[in-house]
Amino acid sequence: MNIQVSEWGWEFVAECFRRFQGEGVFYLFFAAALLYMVFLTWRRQGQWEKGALGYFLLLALTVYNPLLITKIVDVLDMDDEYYRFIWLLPFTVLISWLAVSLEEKIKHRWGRAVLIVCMAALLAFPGKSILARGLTMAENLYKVPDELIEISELIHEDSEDAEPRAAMDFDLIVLMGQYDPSIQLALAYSDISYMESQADTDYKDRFPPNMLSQMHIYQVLYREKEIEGAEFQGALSYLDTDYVVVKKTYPNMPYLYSQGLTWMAETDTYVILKLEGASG
Amino acid sequence: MDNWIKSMIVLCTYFILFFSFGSLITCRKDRGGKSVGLTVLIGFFLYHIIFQIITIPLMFALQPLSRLTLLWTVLALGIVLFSVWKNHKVWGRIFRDLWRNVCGKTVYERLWRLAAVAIVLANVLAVSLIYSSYWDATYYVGSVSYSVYHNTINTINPLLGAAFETFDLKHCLATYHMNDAVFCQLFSLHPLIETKTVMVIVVTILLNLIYSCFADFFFPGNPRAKALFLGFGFLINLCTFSDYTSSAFVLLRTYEGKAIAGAVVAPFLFYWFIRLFRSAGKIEWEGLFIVSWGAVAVSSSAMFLVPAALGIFAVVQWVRTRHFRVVLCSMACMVPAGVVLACYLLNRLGLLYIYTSR
Repeated sequence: MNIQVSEWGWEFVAECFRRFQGEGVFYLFFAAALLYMVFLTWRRQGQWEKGALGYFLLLALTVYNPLLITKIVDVLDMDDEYYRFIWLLPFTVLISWLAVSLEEKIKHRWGRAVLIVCMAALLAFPGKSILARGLTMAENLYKVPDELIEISELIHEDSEDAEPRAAMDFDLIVLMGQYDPSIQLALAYSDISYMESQADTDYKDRFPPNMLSQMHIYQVLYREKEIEGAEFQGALSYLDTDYVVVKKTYPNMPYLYSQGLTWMAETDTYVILKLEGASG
Repeated sequence: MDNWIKSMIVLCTYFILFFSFGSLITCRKDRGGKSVGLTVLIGFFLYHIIFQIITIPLMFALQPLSRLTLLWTVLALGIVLFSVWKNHKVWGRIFRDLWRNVCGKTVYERLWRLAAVAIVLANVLAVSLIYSSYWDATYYVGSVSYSVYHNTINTINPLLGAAFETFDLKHCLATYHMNDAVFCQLFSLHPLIETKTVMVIVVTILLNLIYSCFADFFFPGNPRAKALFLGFGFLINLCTFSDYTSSAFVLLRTYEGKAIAGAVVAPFLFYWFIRLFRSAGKIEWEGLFIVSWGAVAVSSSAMFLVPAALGIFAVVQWVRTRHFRVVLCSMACMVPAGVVLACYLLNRLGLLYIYTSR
């Protein structure tokens, strides 16, 4: 969701609102809430509404003013953080206030019910919400896949080392440090992010031994390449990596078996391979 | 002990702590009507302010997490006991009022209050059962896991699984996640359960307490309006469009400080603003100050949001009232966020860094 001032110019703020707050119905309801505030202030019924209107007006003139804010964001290099200023607009609170205030004005019970149902329907069924995309239920109290827990247990059962080292599929790396920090990762999240940006060709001359070993493993597991056997085995050995965990769909499985790795266990999606002669 | 039971004990402990801490502010004689919800909310932020004051020196002195856990347990227990001694008579009145409110005068009122409780429970159930995996949990939840595992305070980079060379000043001054680590150590609770289940429930309840405070402000003494307000709040958060709205954060990434900054801090600041627009008493300014400081103890995002919101509020209120005191009070509220922001900017410019080893 990278939006840069340099790319969008004065449209930066509008684009941030479009991408980070969404479109359509929420803005309409928010605008209606503001109009209702204006109405109450005009009728001299508002206690806090006048101050709140001033607050939103000044927000619009400063924090959401593209002429001013694009310069500040550019100088402070805050392009990635700017969207958080949208949170200063209390969408949820004001839309709820509007809905309940209007409901309170209607005297007839059925009229109130119709208004509530209509507003709820307008908010709930535009078809693009997170809810409409579908939510997944957690498999356990840890809120990680059961397979991750299984893999951690299998490695610990097999290894004599209290802190076994493993090279893993990216989906596991993202979660393993959270669930089981005792498993040392040959390639951690930051390593992979860095290596993604590196070309296949000239790294051998540029990288120090530790990174070179990581890059060799990265080439095999992530770019699915067959590098020279000595390089891959040397990398595993240099990084003291005893276990490799890949998806069952990994295409170069015969290559991995030819590099001194043997099948140790498997789960529904993953295969755990172990380096021959490892301490386990 | 079963993880569910342990989680419930930790959950209850949090609310006892927040209520005890908050009572130190709201239960004083001249602080107007006392509400359990507002006391818990103020207590949450006050708790994190005091926790931050204790944690930062220990962190920079490279002390082990276990020392922080011990110190914080003793101090928090002391504060709770002091609050009990100081406020037990007021608590009696508050809970009698609460019970009277819950019972209601009529069956109709009781039903609407029951509906409000059901909405909050549905919200809690939804967020505690949803599975969500975002890459940044690797950092935020990871920092708790690695701190507990290595018995350190914020010195391990969770994205590398290795020690930072210098402290990550953008994140480590917001000590919210180290409180998670302390509770994990104290109750032998897994960091994922603490962050993704216990704190998710805590934050969801806090969010609903804020909506409840707004409902009391907009529609005082109207249980139907409160239930509808809570219902709309839940619905709007569920129907958010983008992954980056405060609603999405509080629904899917509740374990992050950012979720609290967007969904709890920002509306709570607005709550104090509108209360101040109506009448400026001591409790309003104290509340605003505590939220403004507590926010930066919870999330680093607050170091941008709080000064912006306070600055704008100060101008508006000064224009309305012509009291320069408003500007001074708002500036005082900005000081904690300003200090954190200054540290972050100096760090970014390469002028301030603190090593993680001696």
